[in-house]
Amino acid sequence: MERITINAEKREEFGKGAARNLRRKNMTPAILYRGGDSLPIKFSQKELAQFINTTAGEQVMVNLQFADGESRLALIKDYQLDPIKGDLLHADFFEVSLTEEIKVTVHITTVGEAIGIKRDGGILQYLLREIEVECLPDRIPGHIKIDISGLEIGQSLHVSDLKLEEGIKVLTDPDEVIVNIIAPVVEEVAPAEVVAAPEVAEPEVIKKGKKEEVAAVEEKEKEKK
Amino acid sequence: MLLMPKKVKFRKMQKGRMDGKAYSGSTVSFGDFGLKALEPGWVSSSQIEAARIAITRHAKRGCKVWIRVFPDKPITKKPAETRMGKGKGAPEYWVAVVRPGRILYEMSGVTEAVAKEAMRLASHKLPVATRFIKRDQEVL
Repeated sequence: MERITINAEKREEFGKGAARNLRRKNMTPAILYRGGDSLPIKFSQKELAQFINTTAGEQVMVNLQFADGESRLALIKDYQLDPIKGDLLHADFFEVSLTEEIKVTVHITTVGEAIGIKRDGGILQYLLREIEVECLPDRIPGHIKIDISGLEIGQSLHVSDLKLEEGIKVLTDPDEVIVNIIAPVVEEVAPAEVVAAPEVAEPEVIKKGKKEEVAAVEEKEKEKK
Repeated sequence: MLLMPKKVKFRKMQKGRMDGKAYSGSTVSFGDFGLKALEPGWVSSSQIEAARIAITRHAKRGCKVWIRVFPDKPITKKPAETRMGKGKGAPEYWVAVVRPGRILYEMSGVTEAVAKEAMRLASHKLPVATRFIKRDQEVL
């Protein structure tokens, strides 16, 4: 499995304010964890973004190189982005041991063009974009390729159809559908009159416990009379 | 068909606030391309439907569209030439509260060029500024 080395620094300052200060200095706060232990770290924002962009969702082992000469093997578990700017806010790294099996999610990519799309104009629908596998860190596949060229409209490929190397155990349900080809949907153009004046009906109001209250009020009124 | 809830607990709602960013629903989850809101606003059910029609008409056939927002907030309005007071007006239409970062639409089954143009046409039907985005977009 491919390995990439990134320079990391141990982080002494924690919390919201410290994290914001780091981001202003073009650094990204991150965490490295394994079991119950965790180590706060920081990266150069540029270097980490470059690593994420080059791997593009693939599982790649990272060699975290610290200034004191220490190095640790890890996998990127998750990262957070700013929802508007797309800036990298934080990253999670999971420390791995080469002798212990781990559970990871691996992306699925399709190969070829399905007959159902090429000939009949169907739509390729992904129902599962990644699967969970268990294996030794050295055997983690970057991504899993699946050949869809034989698929026609209405046909699908399941997790059980995946061919993986020995030593990789699939944890996702084998009956789950990965991709299927659905028939194209043609939008019917509604008559202009219907579109021009849509009537907005009011939805039903859930009257929870109202009946009892109404009945009590009615009884009181009767007593008064 | 305009979107609105089937059942509600209360007929009318207070205005509420649109502060902050949309952290949930801010990534492309189902399709390959998406339209992201860049500013806060109320998007009415008729605007959601108009934008959806714009997308499906441009893409013609062979595309799948997901609407990632639902108008579940009733907006009331007082009749014209009515004096102030005498209670809150009657529900008039439904809106979805959109915060910056929210994905409004997603689509798949078309090329990037077709999706971009379809989303551009859809954005003209919406009251908020938007941006076309792709799945697994570059990290800055």
